Amino acid sequence: MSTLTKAPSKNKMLLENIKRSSNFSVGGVIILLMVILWVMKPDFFSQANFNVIAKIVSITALVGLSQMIILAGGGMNVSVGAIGGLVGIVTGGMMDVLGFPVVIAIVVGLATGMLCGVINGLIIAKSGSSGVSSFLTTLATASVFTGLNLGITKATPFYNLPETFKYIGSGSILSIPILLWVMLIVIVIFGMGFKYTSLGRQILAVGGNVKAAELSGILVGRITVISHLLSGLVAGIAAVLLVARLGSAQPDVGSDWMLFSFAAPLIGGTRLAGGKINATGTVLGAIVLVLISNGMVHLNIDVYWMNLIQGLIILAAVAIDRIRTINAERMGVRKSEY
Amino acid sequence: MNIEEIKMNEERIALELKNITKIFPGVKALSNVSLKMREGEVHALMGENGAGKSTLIRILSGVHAQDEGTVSVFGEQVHFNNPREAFFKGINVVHQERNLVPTFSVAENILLEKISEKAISLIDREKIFQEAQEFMNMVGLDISPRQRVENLSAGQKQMIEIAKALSSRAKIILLDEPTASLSLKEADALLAIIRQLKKQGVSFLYVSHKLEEVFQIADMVTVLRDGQNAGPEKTIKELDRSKLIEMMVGRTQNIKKLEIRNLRKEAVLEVNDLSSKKSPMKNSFKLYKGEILGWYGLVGAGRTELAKALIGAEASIAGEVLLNGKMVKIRSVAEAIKKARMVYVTENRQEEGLFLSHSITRNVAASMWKKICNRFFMLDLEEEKKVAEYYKQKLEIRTPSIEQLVANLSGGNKQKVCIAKGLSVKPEILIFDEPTVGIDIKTKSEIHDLISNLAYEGISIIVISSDMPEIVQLVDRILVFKNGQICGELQNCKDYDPMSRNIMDHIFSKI
Amino acid sequence: MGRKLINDLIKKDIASVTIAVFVISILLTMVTEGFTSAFNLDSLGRTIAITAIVGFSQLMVLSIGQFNLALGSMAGVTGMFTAALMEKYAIPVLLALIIGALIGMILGYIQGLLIVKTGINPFIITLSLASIYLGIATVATKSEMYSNLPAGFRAIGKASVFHVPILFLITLGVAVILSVFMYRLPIGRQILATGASERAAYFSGIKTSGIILTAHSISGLLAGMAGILQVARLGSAQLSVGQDWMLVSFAAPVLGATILSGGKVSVSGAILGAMLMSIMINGLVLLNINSNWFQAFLGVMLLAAFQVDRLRLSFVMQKKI
Repeated sequence: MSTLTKAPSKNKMLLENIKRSSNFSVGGVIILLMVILWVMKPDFFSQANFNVIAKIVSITALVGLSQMIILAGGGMNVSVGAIGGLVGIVTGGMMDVLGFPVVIAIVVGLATGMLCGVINGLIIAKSGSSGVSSFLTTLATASVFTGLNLGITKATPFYNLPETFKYIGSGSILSIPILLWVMLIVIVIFGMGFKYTSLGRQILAVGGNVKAAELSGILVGRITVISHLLSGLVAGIAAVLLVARLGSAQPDVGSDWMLFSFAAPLIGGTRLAGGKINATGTVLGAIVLVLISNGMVHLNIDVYWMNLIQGLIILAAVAIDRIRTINAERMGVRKSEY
Repeated sequence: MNIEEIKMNEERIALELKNITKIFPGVKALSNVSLKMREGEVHALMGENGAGKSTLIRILSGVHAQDEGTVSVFGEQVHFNNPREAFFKGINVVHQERNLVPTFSVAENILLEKISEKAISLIDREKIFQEAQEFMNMVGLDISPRQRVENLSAGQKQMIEIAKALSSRAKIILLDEPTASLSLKEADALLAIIRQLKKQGVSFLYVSHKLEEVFQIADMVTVLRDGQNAGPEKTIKELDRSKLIEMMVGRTQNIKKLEIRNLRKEAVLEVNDLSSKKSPMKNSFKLYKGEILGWYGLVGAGRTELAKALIGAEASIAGEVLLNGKMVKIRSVAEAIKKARMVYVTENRQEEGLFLSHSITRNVAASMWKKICNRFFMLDLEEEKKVAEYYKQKLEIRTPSIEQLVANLSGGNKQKVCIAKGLSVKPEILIFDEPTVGIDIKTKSEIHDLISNLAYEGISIIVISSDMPEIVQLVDRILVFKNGQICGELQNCKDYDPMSRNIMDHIFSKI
Repeated sequence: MGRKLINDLIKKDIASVTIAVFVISILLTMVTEGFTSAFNLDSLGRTIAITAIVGFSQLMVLSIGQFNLALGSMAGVTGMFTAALMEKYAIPVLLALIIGALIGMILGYIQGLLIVKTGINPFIITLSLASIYLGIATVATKSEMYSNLPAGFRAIGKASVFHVPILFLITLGVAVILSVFMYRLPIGRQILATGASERAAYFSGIKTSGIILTAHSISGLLAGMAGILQVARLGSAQLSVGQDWMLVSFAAPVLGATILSGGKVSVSGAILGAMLMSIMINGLVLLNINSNWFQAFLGVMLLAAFQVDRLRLSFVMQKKI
């Protein structure tokens, strides 16, 4: 038999090294970016700006997490932003127009997000849960959700939000913004969940090899629905936090989420094809993205360049993902000798 | 009754199928099939393609439910609504294709069913690694359970599947073509493990086309033909090769002995030091006009890779290729066809050879549309149909119409469509890669006749095959492959025993 | 088992889309006033014409089993560029149109090249290019708008010949050329073969890289054409042209019998699909439904189209046991 015999501890170290190298290299990029920005504009690192960046990162990371959950299962969720927008105006509307208390409004908002997710999941599951079907379905539902959003709001925001709600977006605990706390808690829950719960492993199994998953008794349709439900929930959380931060429920919340929702996890080591995620990496990826875009604003780069840069970033992120995948394959497809 | 028979009757019946019938729309896949398997027995399930073996396996593993008949496991009648139920009743299938999650560790793959049992449950990762180690030891897998599966060899992956089957405390394991992608060494290891597990009371249902293997490992044989039992089950001792084949096809197979030919006049192809990324060893050989050159080797010996390097379908191709004495550079399949009139008929029909959703006509003409144009550069649709009709007749493709979608054809007819496509460009050199694998005996014989006739017409042919009888029967000269390199060249005397021994000597000797 | 299944099914598909078009048209005639007015029909005709070309553009990429998500951007960029040529640089209309068409083709070619050479998931490549192309154009034009276009050019969008809009005639011309290309030329067959199975096509001796480049180039050309025609119709050019076209670009061909996974297309079906979509939206407008709901409607249509495609596939691929 072919020999890949290494003592377990050495193998363990090998794996740890690989994982470390992904977060490690992204961390390196972050440090590099910070150095560049510090050199070009030292006041980038003022307390105030740090605060702003931390908040934007929190939301971006959650957006990335929402996508990451679906990428784990081998699919794509193009409606992340649309769900966010809908949740935002539902939450805002409940408080502004219907006068509901903050807690109820948030619960209803998140429930909306979960409902959107369930709708996605059910349609995709019925269509065989393939990657293509998840793309097309969420492309269509994105339009439906956005349409509902615009139809309800007639494109005007809800401005009248309670102070307690807005405090979520502006306040801090132990000098760390509430937004950041929420993000960290959610990320840790999901990161641990993917590693240590049966559900998490099932999602990843489906993403890794759907046939193997089926044969092992995993109900792929059910997993699809659950993962989209969770994705919708997280997108909803991101939306609620953003609305709290903005101070008003804008219908166009989420309209620019799509590219970043892919870029953050991909930069962070999540595989586009599914089966492998990196929750910490998604946060690191979000930091990279925010540093770049926020940095551009501070460096007075024309807003016209935004589209172009964003497109290039996502391309770069996927190129990195591809290189990583090729490297992983090259790591040892060892055919045994006759 | 003699002592052995009495003993057999006392042993427990692990699996019993009585009068299983399964009907799909338009087709009766299984009709009154019965089978009895004792504890600790290796029971071979054989039959031609389409005989019903796969359907039977799917019923046993819980993918389908039978329409009539009963399945009993250790005396208890069972009915499976899904694979999970079969799994937890102790029946496990190891399929032909690998079904592992590449991004997961060995341990997680082995215990995947267990991990997926309840949705909301915490997983103790260390415990998983330990538990898996137990099963890995049983099959002799000496790597770390934490190792990610995507980096392992085919043999190791196969072992993981078996460990997985054992993890469910499976008493009955169904093996579907288990050695199809294993090297000789790995196949032997597998058979050894099966023998060992037999002693521990595990029963195996062994599906294989490899007759030699069946004679090596099986205790009993059940043969299916056209969805029915082709006679009562037999002990392996009662059978020999020709009897077994007779049960499978219903008639004694006449092994035709074709003429021995020694053609070394003109070398239509001369290859020097050909290598590529996937075929890194340098190989040199000649192909003479009108001859049938056989490439024999075990699975993994590198023949397909070399052939693909020859037709330009590989990366980083280096070396010399001389066509009728003149140097040619072939860097794509299109170039191979155009410059060298060289056609490769793939072993991977489904993915590389056919357009399943298209008609026979479209498939056959796929290499030569440019040649059936009229003056205005537009397709001559009549001509396209004529080409398909011509080959339908010549190759005896069984179909009501050439507009039939290729997906609906049987394996043998699909292969004929592939061949027709290859022939349509009037090649000078034809490379057949495993031309009759998975094909019924009648079509196999037709294809062999076709290849002989083509050679007589002056076409130079390479036949890549892992089927010893096929090689010995058909080819004029044999190149033996081992570890990606040609290790021997033999003239074929077309006498099975000495030739096969000679070939295997080359493979086993240390050169 | 002798069924000429695909041809039958395509005919059935087209028949059903045609029936749907008729039924909805009749309904709208009865329920609204103004559907059959000369003004409305004229406007509808022009919309259908451009929508059909958008559908053709996506159809070309669907034929090889891929998606062109940058279609809208290609249309917008080409439209802007052509307008700039005419207005800013005073280039004669005909020349500007030719250059514009070439630009569209080049944008498509670059996309195809990236897909073939890098091996990166085509979804993401076209998704990024959508942003990149738009971004480049935004930077180059600083989001200007061109509204002083030559009369000759604007006539293309506004004029009619015997009450048939010139736009519609252009679309028919394109449809004929495309049909010949896909059904009567070897390259059409090769494109469909590549869509059915890229590997099998390669091993049959088809130059699949070239085929992919061709499909994307033609898609870009058609997208550019649609963009230019839209500018002609509107009488002014802005970068937002094409940004809403994505869903319709899928819905039209898929409703009209083109299969999403590649290998089978229907040019006439795409026209009918475009008709169906345009008439339905026209209906919503005439029924005074708030335009904010249109998005939702389009999404539902795409979901329906997707389900239809799946049904179609399940009929076609009934495998023998």
